[in-house]
Amino acid sequence: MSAIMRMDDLQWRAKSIVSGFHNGLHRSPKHGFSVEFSEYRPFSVGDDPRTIDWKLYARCDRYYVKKFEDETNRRCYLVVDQSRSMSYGKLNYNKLEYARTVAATLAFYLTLQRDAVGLVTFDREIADVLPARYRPGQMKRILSMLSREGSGESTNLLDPINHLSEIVRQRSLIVVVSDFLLPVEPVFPAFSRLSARGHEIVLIQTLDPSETEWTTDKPAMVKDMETGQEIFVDPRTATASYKTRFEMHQNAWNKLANDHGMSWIPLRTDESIEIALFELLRRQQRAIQSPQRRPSPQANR
Amino acid sequence: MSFLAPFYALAGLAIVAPIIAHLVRKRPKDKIEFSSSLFLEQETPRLTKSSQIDQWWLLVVRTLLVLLVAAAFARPYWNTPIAADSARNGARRLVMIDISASMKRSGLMELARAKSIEWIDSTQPADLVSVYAFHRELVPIFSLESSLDAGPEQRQVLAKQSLKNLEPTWLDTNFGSTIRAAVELLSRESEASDNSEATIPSTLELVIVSDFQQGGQYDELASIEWPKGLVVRQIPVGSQSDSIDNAFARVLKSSTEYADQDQSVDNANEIETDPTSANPTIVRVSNIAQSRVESLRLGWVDQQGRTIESSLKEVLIPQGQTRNIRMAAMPSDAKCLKLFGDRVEFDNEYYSSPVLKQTYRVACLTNQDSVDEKSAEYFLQQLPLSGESYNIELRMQSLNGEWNLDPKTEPCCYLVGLPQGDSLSRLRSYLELGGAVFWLLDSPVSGSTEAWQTAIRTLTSDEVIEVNDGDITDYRLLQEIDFTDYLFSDFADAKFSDFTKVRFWKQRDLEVREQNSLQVLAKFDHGRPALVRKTFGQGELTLMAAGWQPDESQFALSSKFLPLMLRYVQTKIPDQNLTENVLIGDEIQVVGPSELTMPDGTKVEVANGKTQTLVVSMPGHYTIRDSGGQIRSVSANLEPRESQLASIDPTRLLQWGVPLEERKAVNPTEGMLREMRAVELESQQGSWRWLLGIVLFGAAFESAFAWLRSYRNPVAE
Repeated sequence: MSAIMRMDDLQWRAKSIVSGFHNGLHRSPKHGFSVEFSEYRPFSVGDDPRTIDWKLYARCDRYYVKKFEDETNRRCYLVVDQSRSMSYGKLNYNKLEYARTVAATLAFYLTLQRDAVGLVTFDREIADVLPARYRPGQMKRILSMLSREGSGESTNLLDPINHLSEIVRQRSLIVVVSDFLLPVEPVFPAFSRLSARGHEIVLIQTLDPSETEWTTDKPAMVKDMETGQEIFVDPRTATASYKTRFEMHQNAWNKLANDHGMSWIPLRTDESIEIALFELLRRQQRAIQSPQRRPSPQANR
Repeated sequence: MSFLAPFYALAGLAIVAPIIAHLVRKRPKDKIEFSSSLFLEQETPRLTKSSQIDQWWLLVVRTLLVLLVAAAFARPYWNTPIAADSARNGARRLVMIDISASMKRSGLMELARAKSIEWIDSTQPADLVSVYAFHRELVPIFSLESSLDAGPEQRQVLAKQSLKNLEPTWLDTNFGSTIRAAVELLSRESEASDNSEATIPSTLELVIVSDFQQGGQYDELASIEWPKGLVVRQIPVGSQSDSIDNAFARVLKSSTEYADQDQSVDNANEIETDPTSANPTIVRVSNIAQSRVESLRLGWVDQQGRTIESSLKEVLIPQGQTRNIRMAAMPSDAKCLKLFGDRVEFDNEYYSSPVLKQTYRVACLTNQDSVDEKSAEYFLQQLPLSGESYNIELRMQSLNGEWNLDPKTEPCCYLVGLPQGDSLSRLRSYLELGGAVFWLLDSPVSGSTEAWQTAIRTLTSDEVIEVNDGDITDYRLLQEIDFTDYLFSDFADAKFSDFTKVRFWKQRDLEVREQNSLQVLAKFDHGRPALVRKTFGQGELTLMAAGWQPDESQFALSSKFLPLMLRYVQTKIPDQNLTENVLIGDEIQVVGPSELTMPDGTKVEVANGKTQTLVVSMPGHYTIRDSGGQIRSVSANLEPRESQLASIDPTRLLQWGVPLEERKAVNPTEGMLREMRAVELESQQGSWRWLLGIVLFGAAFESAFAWLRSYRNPVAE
């Protein structure tokens, strides 16, 4: 992972990861899922005549409408946390760089599938919003927004989630990339509301390996990067309590995700980003196979 | 236990500082940034039970250290009975009285004596008083040993008695070395008395009764290590303004002394000429900076002490200036030069001897009946062989005539030509008796080769076996010159070592024996010896295988000839300085058998084979007459520094580090005495040093202990 993170160009990183991901699947990215055929349906009044399969009409003298998978036209919003806590990292790169790489990789991957990709960045408040589009130059805009330096304030996940609830009317895939180092309770209603609108939500948590357990062996004053608060930490007691509290926190977020049908992907920054891609693919296929899957408005038409 | 400075004990309140420091919990030094404190719990550094005990130990140590420092500053002392007795004992006091020549000023010695007696009277009977006189050395008058022996009742009386016969000397003053000697004496005597007496006084007092003149050589004072408890007290005498109106004169011995400018006198370059003087004497007159007299007179004084009126000369010397005065030559009956006009008499006479020159004869043995301008003898006659301290009389002597040379009166001679028969044996015996012969082979040997060879073989003991005329087509030069030899040593410098302009048209070839003791001083450029030397004990024969006259060579006309010949003669003339100038305090050596007459007429006989060393103690002429009747005169004069009479600034002594006493015109009260006793006790015991030592040790222990604790238990820190 560190080899990829050493690349300066975000787009190049994303391409490398996606290319590697496809190589692993032994599938060519040129035959994308977005053109996947679903079924034929007899033409009925009100259907768009442009959807009639004229080759089939030539063979069987019937009007059939060709029906495609919904994913091809799916909208995806990437929500990236740029708060100060994201700039923490004991590796050669910090969590924010990792999160940006994750977002860029997903954006690139989704763009290859001809999905419309949008981006929302936030810290204490919403920094940038790029509506989901599938058009030339969208990927460049996403990359340039991701490369922009954030102001690095504290985390406020509530505002972007509420904002997305208001602006995204169509069913979309919402991927939130953050360290989620904030209590669950305040954001619980917002995620409930967003989930209730039928959006698919993926929560990707990026954590530095040193954040999963307390490893400092000397007593020290610890300064919270977001609040600036300094507290004394004794390693003899802090190690155990940190572990307990951390697990409780992770469990709470995991529970929240399960309760609302969201995916919860905890990623350590030394882990491969392809895990996120697999998770996305798995979720995509599960959605396809799911009987409760909602038909897309376009398909309905 | 008491405290000398009890208020400093208040510093002990500073123990509050370590207590507060121990109450305040230290924040850890390490500070790290972390992404979120969500999973961290705010803790306070708590001390475990064991660390509390350790910290208590640290607190106790630190508190004790503060208390000890406060106690050290309060200067504690113990009122021990022995110490108290010691404090009541007398001090050691040494009085130094100046008896240098400057104290010869009228009334000064009496004043010094009176002040010394006054000071002795002010001492306590228990004080160990001793009296020393000093000039350039320290002279015991009533020494510390005598004072110890005398006992408390008699000390003052004996000390005062010892001053009665004290008279100033003619010696100069050296404050540096004499004060050093006195200080060493005081401290050494103190140590010695450790064993002989039960108590040691902590106070040492050095009293100096002197005029503290500027020429007193004080520089050494700066390097003296002053013992603890020593106090130096100045009692100045002779600071009256009229006793420093002083000038002094001295006769410059020679022109070289005049050329060597006195470094301390930067304006000694003006000469007042006396056109009537044919053979002038140069006198250097200095008027000291503080003098108010400028118009002075110089004149010679005869043996009876009367001024020779005709020699009197008025001179005007501004204060602080020095002038060189050219006077008429010293009259034969004059005893000394005297300066008139200033108010200080003791340094006004300067003794000088007329230069006595010994005359030596140098024979030139030659075959020539008459000397013409082309002969070698002519060039010898032109040489100014006489020196500053001797006269040389060159005498032409027929080689084959009647002559007899005595090496004592005629230490060297020149031989030009061929000696034969009886002359050869006389020359040989002259050489063996210690005479020096410079033989010039200035004429061709062909025709009488055998006679030449016989002569050469006889005089060189067969070491030169053959002599022939050299075969020269053009000219010969000198080479392989021995510049280490005295004859050529003046030419050793590269600037003078060029002999290539000295060309020889004619020369003799010398054939020397293979095994020989000859010293070849120079060779011709064909390898044959040009100048050889054969020694006979003290005597020596120098043989030159060519003539120096223009027919034979360019040597006599070259610039090398005169220095080489002068060097030859000077080396052979015995070095006898018949007149000598010394300063009072210097030593003169008298080799027996002889008789020494001192300026006051005292005669000292020195037996044969003995050498007596005499320290010059008075100004005047010391005459030494040897058994042969030869008189050597030594003029003794006062050290010029001694004439610098102005007193030094008393603060200068402080600058040199002298622990001067601060005089207080108050009688000590009982309270003051108690305080002084306390100071003395505290100074003796020096408890504060021990306390500070313990503090330093404790601080080191505390640091090590605290470090060990923090290393083992970082959380506690």
